[in-house]
Amino acid sequence: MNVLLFGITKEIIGSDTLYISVKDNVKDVKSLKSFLNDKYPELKKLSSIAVAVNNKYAKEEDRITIDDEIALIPPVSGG
Amino acid sequence: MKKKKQVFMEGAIAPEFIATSIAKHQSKHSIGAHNIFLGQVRADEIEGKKVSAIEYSTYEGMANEKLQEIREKAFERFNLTYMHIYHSLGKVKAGEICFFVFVSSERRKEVYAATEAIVNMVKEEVPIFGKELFEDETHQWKVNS
Repeated sequence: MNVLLFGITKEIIGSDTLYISVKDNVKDVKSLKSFLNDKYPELKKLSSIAVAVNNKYAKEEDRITIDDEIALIPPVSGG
Repeated sequence: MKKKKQVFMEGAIAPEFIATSIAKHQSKHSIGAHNIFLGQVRADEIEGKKVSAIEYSTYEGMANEKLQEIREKAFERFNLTYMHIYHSLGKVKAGEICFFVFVSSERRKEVYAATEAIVNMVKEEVPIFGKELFEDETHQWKVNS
């Protein structure tokens, strides 16, 4: 599955999108976050990190599949 | 339900754009009160370095959905005739306008509360990301406080 990246997460990971293989066993928001934190420890320094599934902020237990649009949302700072 | 509107615009929001927006409402004679919030890029000084501009980016699909929700909530909670939200993308220099919220109602009471609620929701919920550019060409990612 592909994860869309924005703002500082794009800078940390170094790309607009990150491909995650089925072998990485990412099934829900919680496992996605721990997979990313292990791979990119810099992410842990952010004051918050949210995951959006199909354009909505998702909860830790929400399941994700390759059919979902998944995005990593760093601290928002509009206005 | 009100129709989807274009919120994002490239670069700073020009004072003339704001003036034109006001002028467009002069033919709507049920309105008795407008209220406007303008966000301006501040030249913060961080560890001796001055912010010269903020470069905004967004997750546009989600941002438009969130903005639509905010618009619906605002019309539900407040007795508004019109509301407009505009936000810059790309580079906006210190002193320029990056955020414009404009609400109109029959009477003044509603517009104050509505403006504050809308501004807060946009700042807290909409996936917009500000990169603070310093005069020495380094940068840091802004976090709303």
